[in-house]
Amino acid sequence: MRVRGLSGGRGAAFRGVDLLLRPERVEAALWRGFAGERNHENRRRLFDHYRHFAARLASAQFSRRAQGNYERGDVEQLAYEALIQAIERFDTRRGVPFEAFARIRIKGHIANHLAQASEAAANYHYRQRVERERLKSLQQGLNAAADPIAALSALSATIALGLILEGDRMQEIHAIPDPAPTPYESLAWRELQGRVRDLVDNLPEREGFVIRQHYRNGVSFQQIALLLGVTKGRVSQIHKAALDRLRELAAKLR
Amino acid sequence: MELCGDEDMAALVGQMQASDTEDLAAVDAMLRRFPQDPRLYFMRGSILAGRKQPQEAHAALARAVELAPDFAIARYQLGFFELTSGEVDQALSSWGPLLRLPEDAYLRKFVEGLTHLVRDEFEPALARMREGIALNRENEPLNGDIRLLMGECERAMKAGATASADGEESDLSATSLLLGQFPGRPTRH
Repeated sequence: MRVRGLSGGRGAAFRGVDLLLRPERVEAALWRGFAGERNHENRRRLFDHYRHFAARLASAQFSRRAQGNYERGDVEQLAYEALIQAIERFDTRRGVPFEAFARIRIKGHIANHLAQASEAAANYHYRQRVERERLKSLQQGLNAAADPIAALSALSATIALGLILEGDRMQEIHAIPDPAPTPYESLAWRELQGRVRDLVDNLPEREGFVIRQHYRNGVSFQQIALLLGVTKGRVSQIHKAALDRLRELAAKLR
Repeated sequence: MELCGDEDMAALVGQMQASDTEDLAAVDAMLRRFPQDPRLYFMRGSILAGRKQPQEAHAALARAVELAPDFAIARYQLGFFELTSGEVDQALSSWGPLLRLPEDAYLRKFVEGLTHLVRDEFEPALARMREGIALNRENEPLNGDIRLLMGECERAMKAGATASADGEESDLSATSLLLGQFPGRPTRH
């Protein structure tokens, strides 16, 4: 029997530091870091810390508005926008818990925007925008003139990787059993997703961040740009570089 | 630097023991008289940490160490506070000077043990903590905290060993499921 954790080192079944962490102190340390240096790294850590909170609020708001035809992704985007604004505006010295401060702003932001926008237009525009951004990103540097078939093949493989990655998010969103026709297919799909996830873990930090936030967490290029302190175009380049690298890594696994 | 005298300190400790709600006010009142006394900041930090006011607790502990870099227990608690805040690098940095203490100093043993713990080196972590407890004759509450941590670590190690065995079991089940899909099974309608 393989016993992890007894001899220590990597591969342990639990992390020693997890025995020590106290949530209220971890949260305070993130704010302490941000107050010390308002840089993108510290802003990104705060966003990661509160992302689930914002997503939960978005989910509750979405469910309350189920009569409409908004996509969950639209509501999440609004929640993330408001979260980023709340992080910027929060003052720890006031003694108010951040979540109480942010909750009002996130709900208000969602309500304002959904009331203003046409539901159908919101759905259409969200999907259109995401797909257009991705395609634009992947087309950068593609030399279709030299070998159109090879270029199309590379593009298709890269888009497919994106779909696999997004599959994780769809499972998380719908929380319903995988509709694959047979248990084998379902298992094979999950294994494939698992392997792609492992590949993402091997990406350089910044590329991994963009891929995880965009595909797994549904964060738009625009918002990732705000978190990283770069332009949306730069996020698009990082996105392409990451998917190209994933494609190369995946090819080596064959 | 004017420090709080022994009599004042004894009176303060008496006030703190008498009331759980007025203890911070008593320390703050003393701090107004002796704003450079690191022991008062350390007490303030400990009270605030217990009240789950981490921002102010950290500031007070850091101030204590800033005023008295050789105040070993304050330095240890500051590092421990940072560790429990997820600031591992910062904790190791705060603890650095404690590694220059003599080899038989219990705080050094605790620091070494905790350093092993955050590296997931559980057996040496427990060994150093055990040694520290044996050496520590002056701060029994600290021994109590370390014993609690050791207990959690040992439980997690046992659970980890069980989870590992379960993991192999589930891998096997997944393989069986996979093999079960090959021809020979009835067609689904």
